[in-house]
Amino acid sequence: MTRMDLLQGTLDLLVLRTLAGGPKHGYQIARAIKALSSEVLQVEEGALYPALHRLREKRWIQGDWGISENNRRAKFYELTPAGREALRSEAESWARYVQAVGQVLEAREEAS
Amino acid sequence: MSRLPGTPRDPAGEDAELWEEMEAHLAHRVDDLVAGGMAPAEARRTAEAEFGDRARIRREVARVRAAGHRRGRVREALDALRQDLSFAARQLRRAPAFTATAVTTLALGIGAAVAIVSVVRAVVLEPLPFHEPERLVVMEMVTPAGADFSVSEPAFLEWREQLERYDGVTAFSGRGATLRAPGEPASVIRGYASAGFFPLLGVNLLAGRGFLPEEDLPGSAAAVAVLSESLWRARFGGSPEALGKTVDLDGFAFRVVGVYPDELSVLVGETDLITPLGASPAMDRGEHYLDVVGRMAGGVAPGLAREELQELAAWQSRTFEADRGWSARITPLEEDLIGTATIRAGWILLAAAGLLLLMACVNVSNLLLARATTRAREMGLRAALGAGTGRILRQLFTEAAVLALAAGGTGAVLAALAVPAIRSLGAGRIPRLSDAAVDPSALGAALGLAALATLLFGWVPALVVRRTRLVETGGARGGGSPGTRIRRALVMAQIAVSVVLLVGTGLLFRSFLHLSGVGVGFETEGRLAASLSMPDQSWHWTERGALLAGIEAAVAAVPGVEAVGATAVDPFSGLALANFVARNDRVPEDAALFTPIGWRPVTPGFFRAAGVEVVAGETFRDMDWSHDPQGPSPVVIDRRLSEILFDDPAEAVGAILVWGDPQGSRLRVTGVVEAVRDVSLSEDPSPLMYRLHQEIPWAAMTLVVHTRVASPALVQGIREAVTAAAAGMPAPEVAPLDASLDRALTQPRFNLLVLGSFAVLGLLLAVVGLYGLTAFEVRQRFREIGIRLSLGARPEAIRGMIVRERVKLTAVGIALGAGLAWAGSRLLESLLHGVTRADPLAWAAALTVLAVTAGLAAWLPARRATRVDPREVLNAD
Repeated sequence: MTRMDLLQGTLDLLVLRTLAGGPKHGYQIARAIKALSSEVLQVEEGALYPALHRLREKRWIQGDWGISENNRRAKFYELTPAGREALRSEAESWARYVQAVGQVLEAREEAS
Repeated sequence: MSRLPGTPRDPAGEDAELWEEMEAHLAHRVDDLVAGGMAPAEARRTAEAEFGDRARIRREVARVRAAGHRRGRVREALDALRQDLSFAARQLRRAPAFTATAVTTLALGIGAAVAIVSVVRAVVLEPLPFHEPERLVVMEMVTPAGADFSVSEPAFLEWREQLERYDGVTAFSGRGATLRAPGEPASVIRGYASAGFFPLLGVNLLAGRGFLPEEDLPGSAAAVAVLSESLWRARFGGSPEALGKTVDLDGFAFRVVGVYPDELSVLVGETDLITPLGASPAMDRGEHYLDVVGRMAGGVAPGLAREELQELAAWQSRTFEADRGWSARITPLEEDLIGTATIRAGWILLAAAGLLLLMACVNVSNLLLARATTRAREMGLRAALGAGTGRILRQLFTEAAVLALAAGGTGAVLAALAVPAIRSLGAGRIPRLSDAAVDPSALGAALGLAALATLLFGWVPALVVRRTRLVETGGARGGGSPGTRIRRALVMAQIAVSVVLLVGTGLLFRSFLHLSGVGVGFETEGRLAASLSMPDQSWHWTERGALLAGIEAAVAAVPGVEAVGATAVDPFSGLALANFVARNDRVPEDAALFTPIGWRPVTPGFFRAAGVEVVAGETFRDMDWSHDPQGPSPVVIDRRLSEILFDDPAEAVGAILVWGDPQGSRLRVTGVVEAVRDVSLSEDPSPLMYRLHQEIPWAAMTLVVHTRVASPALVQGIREAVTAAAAGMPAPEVAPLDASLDRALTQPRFNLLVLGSFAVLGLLLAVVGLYGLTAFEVRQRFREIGIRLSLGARPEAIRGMIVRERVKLTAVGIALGAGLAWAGSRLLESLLHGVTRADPLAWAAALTVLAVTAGLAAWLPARRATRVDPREVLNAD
């Protein structure tokens, strides 16, 4: 399976999705995205941090310092109620988008 | 710690936090890699490579934060605005009298302005529905006496062929006809137009085409017709299939070739369908009946176009005997159709509405000023407590904005109510008024005005506040402060504006009284009018006399009918027939020296049915001309013509006159009757001559029926009698003659009522202004008044002192207003009939009304002031 770069703007959605399972710190989020996508999606790990700040500005997530499983200080993020709602609606529109693009592509194949 | 929304940001702290976060990330990765067996140093390098450039990421995060910060500032500003708005609303609610007065005042001003702009725009400003209407002119002939006159066919054809400074010239006329099919037979107006009529105007036909040149050949017009939109809908259901079908006009089939839009009615009136004119150079040059419209060539100055027409008319006058002494003129089509009086009235109303709006603005800014002054202490206190000047100004500003918005909204509603009212007021007489609707752009302008008012009202009090230092507010008391001077000046200006409006209304009222009291010379009470059409195609002209006599006899037999007669001029329909006469014993050699007169064919019964008084001799006897067909025709003249031609009415009876020109037929005067006014109420009627319909069997006649009691049954009886006596004639519309008279008063009544309601509004605003000012100043001077009262001053003296100041103010305002009104009344002059702009009664009434109301507005608060208990006032602060 080839590895893919992430489409712009989808990282936020993925972060929200990984946080739906419970609070995580930055490194855990990066691992989770890789694992959940079966290593297909390539995320430059540092890119996670602007995304986390964007989501925090939107008040979709909030972060708090805590102690990790490795006994290290780390900032844990969790979804706010607004974030939970945003994940639901963003995921829906993503599904619609994918379906629509898929339809177009299939139609083209038939035509050629 | 997570940052609470709204807590201050600390960029350096956040940056350090980010750094720590990224370090933690790397450490976790290194832990994992080392646990997988990698050497710590290599693990660190690998982790950093996977992570990416931390410096770049820091910059990116900083950008995200900055964007969030900007959004935060907008949010803060919106929050502040919300706070300001709700604070402003609270403040306004706490002063309901002030708020109600301010909003009502401004709403009335805005409402009036929007309504008038909407109406004037539809009637006056909206361009005519033609292509480049400014190049269209009405071309008329002018009689030797200088009166505008319609054009003969040969003259029109010569104009069309020879004028080079015009892109085209077209002619139009109309007369009654009967549409027999499809559908029920009905009276219609059939228009006649030359080829090129529609393209010259630039009218877009709804379907089909106009006339082809070969359908408009001299003397042989093709049987084709272009229908009006209304007729097309009524008779063909608006179907495109109508093209190619035929309509039956007076028994002849006409093929429908096109449909023109109803908006053309601004030019052709109630015309139902148009057929080719077929103008011929062989027609009598003395038959003037065409309306001619020309399109000036692009780039040609109107002066040059006029000059060319005048030169051609001068040539016609030299060349043709029938045109001797005649000339020609052009008028811009717009002026001709809408009327200079209406255009002028439109501008006057616009000016009045503008003045009213100005007054409303003045009033509100006055109210705000007064409020700002009383609130100077509040503002001073708030400033002392640390509210920034900017914040205070913004709050004042928001208050004004809330006021202006509320007023704008209310004003829009008022305008939406006023426009239909105005429409029904002038219905049927003022062209295009029925098109008037609240103009969205006027509404937009009103909202703009509200915004402008905000700026104005917001800043004036703000300036006052700015000048108010805290030290002053403790002791500031009314008197000669700049605020007071501004307020007085504003109230004075209001009084002046009010005087202008009142004087204008007074003058229009006097003029209206004059017009409605003008003796028309005939009776309208108990008289019914019915229009009859006896077109050539249905009745040969020799049959018409007997036909009409038969109809009159049948109508006279209807129970309840006292007398019946007929005239060619439907009163106040605007139709006027003109010709020339001279005394047979003093015939001038030149036709141009004959006396210009109005004339009309009537039946012998007309004078009794219409109640026209006989001054000398007698009116027509039935058939009396036919006894001596070779001798002079009998005519009846009116008192005016008798005064011009003879010294004494008795001398006129039996005299012989000459008709038209020196070779014209001879007429014998059988009697003299009172002058009547049936063309226009405002213009002096021409001297008039009546001729027998039997001799000049006009096709379109109006039956005048004198009844004892008008009832629907009687009206029905008349309609049935007409159709029974004239087979094939549609039943006529029957309407009281009063209605025609009323129609003639529509425009003056419209002007009067609209300007009158403005004047009432204006007076109201001025009174509110004066009362408000006085009440405010009295309140400010409570302390002074209290001291004076406690020192033993008599209340009357104090009342006198306050009222005297107002009287001075009012007198200056009235003097200013009178000057303005005198200058402005020049505009009104053309709308005044029977009164001059110096009419003393109108002026006296206007000034008295103003002085009395102003006096009351000043006296009431003054009286209240002196009822004050001195102890209470002195303890108040």
